[in-house]
Amino acid sequence: MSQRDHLGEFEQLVLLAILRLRRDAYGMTIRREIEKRAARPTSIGALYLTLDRLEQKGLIQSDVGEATPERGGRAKKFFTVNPSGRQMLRQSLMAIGKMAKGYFHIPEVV
Amino acid sequence: MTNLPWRIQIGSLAFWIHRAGTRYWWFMAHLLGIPAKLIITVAQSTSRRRLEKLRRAADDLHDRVISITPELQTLDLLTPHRKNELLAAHSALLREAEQLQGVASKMTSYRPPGASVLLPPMTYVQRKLISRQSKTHSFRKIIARVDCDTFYWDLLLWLVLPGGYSEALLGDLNEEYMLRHSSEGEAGARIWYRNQTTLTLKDFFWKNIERWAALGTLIDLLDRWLRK
Repeated sequence: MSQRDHLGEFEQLVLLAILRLRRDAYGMTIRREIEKRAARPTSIGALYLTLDRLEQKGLIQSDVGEATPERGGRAKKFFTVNPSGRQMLRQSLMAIGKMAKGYFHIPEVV
Repeated sequence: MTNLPWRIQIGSLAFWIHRAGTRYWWFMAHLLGIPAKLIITVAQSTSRRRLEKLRRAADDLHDRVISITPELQTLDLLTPHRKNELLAAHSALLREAEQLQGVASKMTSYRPPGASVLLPPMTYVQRKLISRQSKTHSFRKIIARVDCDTFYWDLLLWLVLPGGYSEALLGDLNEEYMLRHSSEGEAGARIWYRNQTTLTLKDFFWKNIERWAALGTLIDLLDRWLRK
């Protein structure tokens, strides 16, 4: 496994948020989901930098959606997790689960 | 009460800065275009030369086939020695034709060595120009809402962020601002927007610092290696 194959904690959160939101995963909803579930204040800039990095790694892909008046006529950018992203997330979470075994109870998530 | 003429002046200044950057990338594209044109000319003339050589070989083969065809049609009337000679020439010509077909099928357009060196910077400049174009498109949306509360922050973000980000990111910020405006009131929404903008600027600024630091380290390593 190379250096590029590792997922950081925030990358894991972003991938999980995209998976949870299914078809409605774009910048604002992903940020809100992370803040709501992980109780982690997130700046939109940090989120977009991470999304860009994940896209460059080929773990997610984006599609341009519709423009709405409340967005100032700007289009949404929807994100979906690629099979390689799912695979890497599973490996990453399993590694954490194995390391935590015997010390913390982590519910089965994958 | 918003001071619209002042806002338009500031917007024009920001666009002027953006346009200066775009012109720089256009200049770079033209600069890279000179060796690219040279490479294309070399590639075209080399391909033309190769094609001409192949065409001449095919013509020569055709002439030789034509020269032995009448005798081949009256093969039974010839002496055994001449018959053997003709058959040998015929099979040699067939082999030559096969070889020629092989050469023609493998023939691809010639790619000079300089092309591989020039391709990455040209792709980079092309990406930059596309990003600039997207930024220009995004600017129109900001200036269309010149009386909006978040105008200055939007303008600042637009100026700093790369083109690929500005559209979706500003859209997300505006959408949430509207939501907070209706739930928390104008003051709360403004504070939230200001904080998000500041944090976003910090994140992008830090990313650039990291990039320059990495480049600096690389240059330093190269310098040390060259001095050895």
